[in-house]
Amino acid sequence: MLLILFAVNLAIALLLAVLPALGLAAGLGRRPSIRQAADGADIDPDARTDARSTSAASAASVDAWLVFEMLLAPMSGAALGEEAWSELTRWLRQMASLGLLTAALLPIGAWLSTALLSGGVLLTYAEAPGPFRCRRFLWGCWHWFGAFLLLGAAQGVASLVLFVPLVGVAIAAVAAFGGWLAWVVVPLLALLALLWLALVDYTRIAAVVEGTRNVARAFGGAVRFICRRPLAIVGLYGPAILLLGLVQALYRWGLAPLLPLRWWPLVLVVRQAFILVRLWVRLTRLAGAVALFGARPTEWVASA
Amino acid sequence: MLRFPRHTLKLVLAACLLFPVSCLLPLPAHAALATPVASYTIDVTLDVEAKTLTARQTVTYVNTTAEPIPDLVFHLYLNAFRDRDSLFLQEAGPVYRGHRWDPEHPGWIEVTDIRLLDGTQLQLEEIEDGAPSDARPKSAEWRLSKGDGAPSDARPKSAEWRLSKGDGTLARARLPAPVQPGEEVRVELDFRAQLPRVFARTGYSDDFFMVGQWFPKLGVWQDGAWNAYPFHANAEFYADFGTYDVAITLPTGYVTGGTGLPVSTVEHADGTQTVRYRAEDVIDFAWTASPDFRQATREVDGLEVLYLYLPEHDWTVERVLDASEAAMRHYSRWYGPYPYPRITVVDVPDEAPEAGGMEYPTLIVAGTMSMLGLGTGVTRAGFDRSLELLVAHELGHQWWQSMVGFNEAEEPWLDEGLTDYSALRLMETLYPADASLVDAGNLHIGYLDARRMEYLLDPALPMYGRAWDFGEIEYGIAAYSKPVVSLRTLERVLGEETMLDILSSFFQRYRFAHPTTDDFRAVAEEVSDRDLSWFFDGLVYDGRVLNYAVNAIDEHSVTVARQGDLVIPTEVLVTFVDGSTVLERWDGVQSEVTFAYPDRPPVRSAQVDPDRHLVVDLRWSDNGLSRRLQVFPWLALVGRILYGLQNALLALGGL
Repeated sequence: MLLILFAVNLAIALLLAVLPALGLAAGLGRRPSIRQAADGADIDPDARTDARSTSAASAASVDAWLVFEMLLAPMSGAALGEEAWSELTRWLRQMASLGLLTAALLPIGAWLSTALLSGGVLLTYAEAPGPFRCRRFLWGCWHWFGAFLLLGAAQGVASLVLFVPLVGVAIAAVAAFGGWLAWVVVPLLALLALLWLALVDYTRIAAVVEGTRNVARAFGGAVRFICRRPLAIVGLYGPAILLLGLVQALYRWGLAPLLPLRWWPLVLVVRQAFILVRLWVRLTRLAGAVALFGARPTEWVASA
Repeated sequence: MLRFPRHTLKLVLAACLLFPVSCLLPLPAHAALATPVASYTIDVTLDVEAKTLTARQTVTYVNTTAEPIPDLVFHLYLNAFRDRDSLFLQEAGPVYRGHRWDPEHPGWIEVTDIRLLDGTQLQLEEIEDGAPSDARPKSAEWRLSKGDGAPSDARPKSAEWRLSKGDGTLARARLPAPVQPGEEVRVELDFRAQLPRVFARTGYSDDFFMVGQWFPKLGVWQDGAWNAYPFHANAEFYADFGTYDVAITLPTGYVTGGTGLPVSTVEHADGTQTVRYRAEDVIDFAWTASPDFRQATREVDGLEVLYLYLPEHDWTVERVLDASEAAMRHYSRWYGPYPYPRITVVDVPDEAPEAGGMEYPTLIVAGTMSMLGLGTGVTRAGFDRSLELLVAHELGHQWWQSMVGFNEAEEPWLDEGLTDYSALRLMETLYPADASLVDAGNLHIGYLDARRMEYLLDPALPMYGRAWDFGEIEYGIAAYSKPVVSLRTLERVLGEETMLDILSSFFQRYRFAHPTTDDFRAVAEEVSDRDLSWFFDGLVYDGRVLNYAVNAIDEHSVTVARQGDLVIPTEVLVTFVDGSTVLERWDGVQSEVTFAYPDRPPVRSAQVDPDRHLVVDLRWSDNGLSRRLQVFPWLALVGRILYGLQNALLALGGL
């Protein structure tokens, strides 16, 4: 199941990356400045370096000058008296359009893949300790696909409506009352986000465990469950999020600085391994959540 | 036998008696570094409740020119904050550098009496008509050269400013008889001033006072007239060298800092104290006071660095002292010794950041505000080096402004450009060049990168111009960003050693004087023994731009091109498939040149300006070209994008 999720994630990302990759090949592919944008190539000892020193850590980041130059290309173009759509400006316009398109398609890809796979994953866990059966998994994916599409759309809209104003209020409060307030506001926001995540997960879990495609009913069941077992929820999701954070930190500050970035195939493999670990953490969390829901007292089931 | 004559013995005895007595006498004054032209003795009382100053000032002005001077023109800078009709506030608009003037707490200055020391009464008249006088030619012709030296119409100057009525920032006192060359005149003034709520670097915030441009200050007599303008929003200051003797009376319990050194503190029975400062060979006097100041000092090669800081900023102490020490050491080594005994660095409260970021002779005002607008917390965490950069910049002004007395109003690029270039050099000495401004995880920004980014906003802007010829953003580019990238380009073209020779020669030759851009050019071309017309005529006086690019490459030839009309000789590095290279020199005169290599292995890649010497080149990204797609870097970059997309999909799908 882990491999199926990984394959879907990789496939969608590859689809989204194709056009930007082709665009980069056309515009930057023959320019040495592509080395500044790629990992580690700017510490190539064969390349002539300028008189400035560079920090070792910055080798893994895009040089600021390249970013500024790209962003301000229309200004420099105007100063050079170029026609409005010179080659560089045209290419930048294309890349900007591709970037916007990718940014728009990204949440759609996430929405579709989550809606498609959640049913199968949760059904497998709900029927545990039975063995994983591919046909049963695929049936679960298809059976709840429509319902989870609807749920995902509602979740997206609700997230925007709820969290964007909340974050805005939080920022305004911190600006008005002082930085100390951030120590209160940030943990509160984090807790809210965590509960929201749990609510969405448990809506899906309730739908699968109770065998319903009625999203509203499943949502009600999830709310009741969370209200009855808040500490258990926090006790499951808290460590899960912390585990995810630990994995991120281990990679970002432990492993990444040690990677010989010029060996980009190795970097590619390590990064994909990290994606696998991240997926495993998610699956572990979902398995725990399903088990917790499945262990609810019978009277809760009857009252629902 | 040796016998002493009787009178010799008396002389010896007299000398033995006089020697211990002579030790009690004041030490003779050190030989003046500057010719004192305008010296001030001021007794001022600060009313900390009303935020007012009451003072008596004696100005001693020595006519060191060849013309008789019929009058004295004084700057009354505080009147710029009196009401919205001032030129300053009209030009600044509702928000000046991110801060608002508070009309409920304005500032002003009023001279209540002015007289010669013999009692002859004088009249101080506000200068109503702000138009530049025809009697005084501009100090330098501003050449917008398109190659023939003739002024260009391509960039017209902004409309001549003219005050509809005097805004009170300039006033004239006609003398009963002109001051003849070599003679001096001594004038006594009584004045009162209201300090504004901190705005444009001066004023108060609760019981914190930063008092700059607070007294009637003479202009500079040059070329047969007074070089003195009303107070423009972008403009800074221009004054003669002299001695300042300032006695400040304020409540006991206030800690003060000021230009020069404190020579005495007298406490009075009424709960006040008088702190007297003396500074020689300086062009200005500023001071600060707060009951909350703490002091930290460090000795640097015989110089005292004094940091007056507020308790909530105790985290800045080591950083400020470290940056100050580095600045004073490096600038002294690069340009010339700092001749004063002390440098004072002043902290500002968080609620008054607009007081910070300013230079005065032997005193600078720092502050914890981030130049990137990221908040004090980021600066405190050390990700943003704005604090060190600010100290480096303001201390650079001790050389370029306080000792080399540029006309900051007419040629702002000189003092700001040389100072900011000095700060760039210092920051790159102390930190990695690509992280000298921001160093936070994967986010690194060098100070040069930041300035180059600003330069790219309007690269066709000439650096030369009067401060009021530019809008606020243009002023930043013309006075700071473009000079930094241009001077760095000059350094890389000439070599660091030659560049330092130029700057140290210029400093040594013109310290305690008032040089202009033409003087800098003369020194630069003399020391480098090179024609630097591309720098001065191309970048300083004009807005020429440059982009070098490798346009085409095939198996046995490389074509390089120049866009823009700025021409700087450069190099072209050609690499062949067998790994061999050729370094071609190209003068850049022709707009396109092809280098052919019929007898060599196929070309793999070419790069113009391979060492990125030409910081003014508008696009480094097209400086190189390979004959084939660079597969491995492209794959690495695509892999990075892919990884980012995968993470984003996971995050959007519920972690």
